[in-house]
Amino acid sequence: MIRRITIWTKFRHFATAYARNLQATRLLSAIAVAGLAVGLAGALMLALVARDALGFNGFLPDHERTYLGISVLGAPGSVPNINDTTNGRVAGLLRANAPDVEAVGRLHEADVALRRNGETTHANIYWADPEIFDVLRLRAIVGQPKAALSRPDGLVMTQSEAIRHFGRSDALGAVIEVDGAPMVLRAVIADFPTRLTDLDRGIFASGNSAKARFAWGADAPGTFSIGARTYLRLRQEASPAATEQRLRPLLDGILPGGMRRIYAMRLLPISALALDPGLHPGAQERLEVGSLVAALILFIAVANYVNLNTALSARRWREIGVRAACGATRSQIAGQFLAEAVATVLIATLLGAALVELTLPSLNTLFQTQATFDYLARPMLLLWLIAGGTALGLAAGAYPAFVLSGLSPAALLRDRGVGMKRGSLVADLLVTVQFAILIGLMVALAVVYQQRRFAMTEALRFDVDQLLVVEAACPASFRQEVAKLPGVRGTSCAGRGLLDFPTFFFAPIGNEPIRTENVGILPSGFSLLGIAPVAGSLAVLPAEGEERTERIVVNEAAVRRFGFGSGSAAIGKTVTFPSDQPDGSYLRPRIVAVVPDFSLLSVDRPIQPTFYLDRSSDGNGLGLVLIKLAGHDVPETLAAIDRLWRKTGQQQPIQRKFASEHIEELYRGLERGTWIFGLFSGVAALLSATGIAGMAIATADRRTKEIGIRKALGARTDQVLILLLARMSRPVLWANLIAWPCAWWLMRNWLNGFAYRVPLHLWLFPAAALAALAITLCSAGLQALNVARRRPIEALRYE
Amino acid sequence: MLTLTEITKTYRTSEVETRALDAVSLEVAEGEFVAIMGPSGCGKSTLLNIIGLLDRPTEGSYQLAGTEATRLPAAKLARLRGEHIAFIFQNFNLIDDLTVAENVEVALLYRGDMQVTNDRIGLVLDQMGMAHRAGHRPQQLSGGQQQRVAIARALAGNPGLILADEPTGNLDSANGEQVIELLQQVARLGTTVVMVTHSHRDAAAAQRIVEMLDGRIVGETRL
Repeated sequence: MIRRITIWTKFRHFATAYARNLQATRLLSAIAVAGLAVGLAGALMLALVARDALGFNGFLPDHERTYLGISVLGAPGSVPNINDTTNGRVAGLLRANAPDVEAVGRLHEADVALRRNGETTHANIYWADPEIFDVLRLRAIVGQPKAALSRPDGLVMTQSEAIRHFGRSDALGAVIEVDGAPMVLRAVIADFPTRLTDLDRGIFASGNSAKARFAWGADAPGTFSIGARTYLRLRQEASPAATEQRLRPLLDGILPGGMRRIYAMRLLPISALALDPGLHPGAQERLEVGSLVAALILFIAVANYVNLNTALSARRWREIGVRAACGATRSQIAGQFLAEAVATVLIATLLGAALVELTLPSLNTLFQTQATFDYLARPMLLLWLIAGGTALGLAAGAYPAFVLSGLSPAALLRDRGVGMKRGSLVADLLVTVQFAILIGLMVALAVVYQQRRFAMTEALRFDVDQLLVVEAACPASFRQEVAKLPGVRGTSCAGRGLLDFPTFFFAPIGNEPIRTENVGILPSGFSLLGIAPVAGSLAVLPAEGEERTERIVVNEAAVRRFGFGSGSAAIGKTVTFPSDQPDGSYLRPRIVAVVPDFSLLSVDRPIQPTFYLDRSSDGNGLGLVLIKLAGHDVPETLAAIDRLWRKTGQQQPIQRKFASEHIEELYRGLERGTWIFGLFSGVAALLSATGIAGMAIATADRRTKEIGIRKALGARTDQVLILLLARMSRPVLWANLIAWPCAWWLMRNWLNGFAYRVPLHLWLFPAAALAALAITLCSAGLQALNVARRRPIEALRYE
Repeated sequence: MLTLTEITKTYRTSEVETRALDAVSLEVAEGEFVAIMGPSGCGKSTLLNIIGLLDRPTEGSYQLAGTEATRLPAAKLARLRGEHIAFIFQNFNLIDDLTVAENVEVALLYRGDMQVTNDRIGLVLDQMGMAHRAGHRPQQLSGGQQQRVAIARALAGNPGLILADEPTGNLDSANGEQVIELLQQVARLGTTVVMVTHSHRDAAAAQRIVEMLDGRIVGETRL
């Protein structure tokens, strides 16, 4: 029977050749595939995290021209405060005066009591304008959301909220009391995709309700409050900057005089909310750094693969020669190797995906992300994965395919593949870059670690050891009883501003308002924190503070910013400070002491000029009791404090933590950074080590003849070993030329983001280089020793 | 079958120019069995590579089956090679990862238009007495068996021209004789055979002996 050579025959043949080659080189192929799988898993995980951030609010129709009004508060030259709400009156101003605004609506977040069938629960809801559904066109399941909220008793819920409260999603007409007012479910909307939107609550109650009215803040004369999330959609082609410009004079009309210079409203695209540096400091940088690290890891993995693949292909000289002799064209041979590369990368992609599936929950916990690998719900993800794997396979296979298909078959068959055994510049280059990345990552890891340690110890500039903080408005009886405990050294009180962002005001100095923070703290608190004044004296103040603020303590930042020259020059000077009286009057206290700059807030923000007030002037009152423990019998002392809390009649359960725990929470971001660099440096080191080991095995034969000749001419094993290791170390040494300047530049910029930072120690660079060299010598050493110990006759017979 | 006219091949490095072939002209008729002899380095293998379209001459003309091959682009050369030429090497050049049958199959893969009998591979292996070893790997065979597989591979594509480069160089005399007999059979069936050899005994099996020295043809003997 006559037949043609079918595609299937060809496929079977090439698949067999591929599988047999993998089998014959299983150790090195496994190294290459495992490395690729790890690199791809890293890239995939990052892509999943980035997808959430970059596709933020993307499910909303016209999201690209929908904006949220945000408030920017700050005097020129100072670090502005960003808030994602604005004044409740802005929506009306826009509706009446901005023709470019197609729709505008407000949300106001509230925590309310919901009551139904005699059962009360607390829930986070939005008071919402009916027009909000013109802006955010959320899909209605039943009813008409906008019409629903037009009625003062109207309520709109997401499907899952409706089911939670009424047992079914189509419970239109069901009634529930919101803060005591009966409201009726009049529409149900589809659930939002979690994590992909800033909408984090699923109940929208009518903003026309009597209960909602306070929310929109009818400001008293001379005041201006913010609290409304104001969403708006611009017409096609309209510019947000022009709308901001148009809004400026309208805002000036409602801003009190003193605020006009320091308040601005900006329009932020809702798709950019997740990465806005003002609202989520560091989010963009984390994504960028993460992307960079993932790309570098992927590069290392691909470089490993390319090198190993090229080296392994050298054993196939005969196959290439025979195929060419049998009529294969260059493109057919290149095609075969490209297809094999794509198949290998796709296998690695599959393994990488499995790795992601396996490790994503732990990584989400570690990095506080909520990425999901939902390929069943999103088949496009699978398609992207296959397309990405194929593209990467083509890229990774291109170089070996190009080199192998370009070899002369005559030379291959005549000289037994000698032509393929030459050292490759590209391979050296790839190893060099690979090790440059490893050295860079190690430097980054060390710097991030040092900065974290610094931030949590030295940068605090005061003593947090054994400092217990209890959230309470300085109850005198509790403090007195606690002070008597044998395990307690002393107690004091401070405002919440010590731990959270403090309130601030703009102190008028000359013509310039200077942003100044005020923190409540009793004079006894300074000695408890181990802070001694650099000028003046705290002794002049009564330990428990004065009735009226007539004397004040400031920090050195205030001395500098206010132009007092020196701490001692500042003593006795009077400063102006707004009183907390409703008449808007000012106090003029005298400076009695200057303390060094210290902060329990993050080191990425500079310490601001600060007034330390000994009475409740920071808005939150003295909301913290500070207890310095003696350091012995700590569990017993804590139990005694808990007992005293109840005994002295405190109603709420005690909320206490050590200041050191607060510091740890504060630096969890840095902690995560350390983990990211630690984890990926480890992966990079492992990949580089296996890559070098693989290269050592794969290229050992390349030098067998040379070693045989050298040994026949009298070279000793140790001399040959040194020769081999020196050759393998060369790209690692070259790598420093790339790594050092890049790492120095990147880490210096990173450190510059911190107001208080460690110096960039130069010894880190040679240390990282030595570590990389050690990795090379350890991973290649054994193989090099094996080759060096061969008897010369074996080596020469080989050829 | 093939006509070489004034073929010259020069290798150049930065300092040295080596003339491997110097104005070689040779004509081989269809079905002829020609042996090329000469000392090492005389240009035998270079000549064989040019005849096999694995290498290009620096000057001269080469007509294979009526086609001028010297100016063809690489892809067309590969196709021409696949259609007309098969090789037998001294070191067999079987692919280690493939079985005997798969090694033979390689010769059929790059000939898109070729029609083959259903069990062409089995047939040629049977002709070479290797059918019972079809599933073995080359390393499991003796040298003589490996060379017979290589001949089966050469025959599988039904080529007009077989080029054999020292086909008995790695074999003992008994196996060597068998290989030469097989080549004689092939030639008798109409396939042109050009064989490079050092062995006078092997060369004596051919119909014509071409002698080379220093890149030139210095003598011809018809047997």
